[in-house]
Amino acid sequence: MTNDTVALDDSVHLTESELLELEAVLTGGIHLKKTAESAKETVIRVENLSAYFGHKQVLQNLQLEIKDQEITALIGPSGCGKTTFLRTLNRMSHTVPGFRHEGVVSVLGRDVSEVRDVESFRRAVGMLFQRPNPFPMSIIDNLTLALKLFGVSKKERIEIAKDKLNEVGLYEDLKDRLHQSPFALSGGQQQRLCLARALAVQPKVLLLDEPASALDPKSTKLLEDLFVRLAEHMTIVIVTHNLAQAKRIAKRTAFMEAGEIVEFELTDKLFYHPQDPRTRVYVEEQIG
Amino acid sequence: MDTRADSGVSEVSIQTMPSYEMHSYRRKVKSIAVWSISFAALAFVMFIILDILLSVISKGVPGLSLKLFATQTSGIAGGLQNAILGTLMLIVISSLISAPLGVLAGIYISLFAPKRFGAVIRFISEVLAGIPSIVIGYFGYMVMVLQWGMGFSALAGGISLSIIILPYIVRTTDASFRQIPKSYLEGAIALGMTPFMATRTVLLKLATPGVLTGILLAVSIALGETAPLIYTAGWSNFDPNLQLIKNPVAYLTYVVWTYLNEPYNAAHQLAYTAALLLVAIVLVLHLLVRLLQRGSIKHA
Repeated sequence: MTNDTVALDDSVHLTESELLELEAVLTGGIHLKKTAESAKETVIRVENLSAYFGHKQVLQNLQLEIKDQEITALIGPSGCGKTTFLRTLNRMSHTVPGFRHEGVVSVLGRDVSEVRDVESFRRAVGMLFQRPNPFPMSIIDNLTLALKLFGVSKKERIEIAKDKLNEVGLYEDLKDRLHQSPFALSGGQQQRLCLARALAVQPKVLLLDEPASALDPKSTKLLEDLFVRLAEHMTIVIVTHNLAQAKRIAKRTAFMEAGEIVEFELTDKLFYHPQDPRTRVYVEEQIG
Repeated sequence: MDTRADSGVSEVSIQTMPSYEMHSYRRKVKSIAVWSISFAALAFVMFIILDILLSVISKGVPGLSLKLFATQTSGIAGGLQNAILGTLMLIVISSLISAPLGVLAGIYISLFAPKRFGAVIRFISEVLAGIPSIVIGYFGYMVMVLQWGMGFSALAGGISLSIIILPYIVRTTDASFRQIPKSYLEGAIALGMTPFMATRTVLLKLATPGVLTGILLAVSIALGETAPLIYTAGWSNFDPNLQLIKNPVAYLTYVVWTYLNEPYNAAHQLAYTAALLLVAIVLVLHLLVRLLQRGSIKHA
């Protein structure tokens, strides 16, 4: 909005598109929408993020802001650093020997490099992995183990577990087999169980690392619907190779290549009016 | 032109067919030869094992009686109660020392140690496994029996055995934790667990069959050791008691080693029966290992 005020002072330099925008602002339509947008809190703020494994630079000068109650997708070719970036947001990258980063990564108002209590930080920033990874224990124990370790009472644990199973739409199917092994479940059910497990510790941000790439279309659809619903009260960042998936669920999408964010835009704009030729090539080749 | 083309085709077929057949013929001969050699090798190994088992059983079984388990050795005759209990005691002491140490060390190098440091520890552990057991016996004798004043004793013997089996436990623990897919540890850590919590609750559960297998195999190695015990445990005609130092203790391998050299039938009988008992215990341990491994497959 500051641009607009500057522009008013010196309207001679306004481009045509800016004029159109200004007109829209003055007539009110986009104005309302825009204030609603900016009212959303920035949950993740990344400034000049560069990251290295040993001497190899894997991320270069990343810059982006991720807002609350939105799904943000990260797309790009394999090895472009999407996953490393995602895992930097909850300090999982930092568990890899030789990893270091420069610049500011602020999540929920905390700089990740200054987080002392990593464990409670990670509780606030949950993660779902590419392959379902239920623990080798009963379904109910999968959901309650972390809560138990954090000292939540048994009654409360069970309640939370059932609540979260319900939230991911598994409770009706599984209520009679809560004490059985999760490995008998289908891949999609296992992934939803892992989602429920991640939700059980009440995260505010959810990081998804290609969460549906190992699943069939029906399970994928179920998961996507869940993500959209969850995004009503939390922040979701998803890494995906499935561009259609990004289009279906993400409000904004970042295209990454060779460790850089090439373009970060509203999803529709990125896919249908990409500004950068690299984005255009990637998006069009993937679709065509 | 037509005839030429025809002859060309037939030439090709004449040239390729025999050499192809030759190849397959040669391959068959080779295959049969290699299979025969493998089978002969297997038969040879089986023959040795069966020969050992049969001679131990045929010579050992006649000595089996209730009396054997109920009486202590006197001179060159009597029972083996003292040796059986002594062996058990040495096994318990050595496992109590080496199992916790070995498992913790294995967990450390598989999950927490910096890469290079882990490799160094692995190498040292392997070297330790390669040291002849008599050297460790001699070390035990010089350091524990003499210098520390333990005398021939269950503790000196048990510690010597634990040095011998420690690297096996480290290695199997290390291997079973490294086999666990990283996703389990990451899944647990991403929930906000500390690496220690994740290890204790999630990873240990997956590694337990492998770790127990390693401990049981180590125990069966300890069972068969003689050399280090001769230097450290001594020998006693009486049942072991809770006095762990300055109190020699009996063990089965001593009976096998010593009594075969005595010129008496009764002594030979005791030696063979002791050998039978050792083989039987090792067999039971290995059956347990099999059961554990089957259990672990079912779990995964």
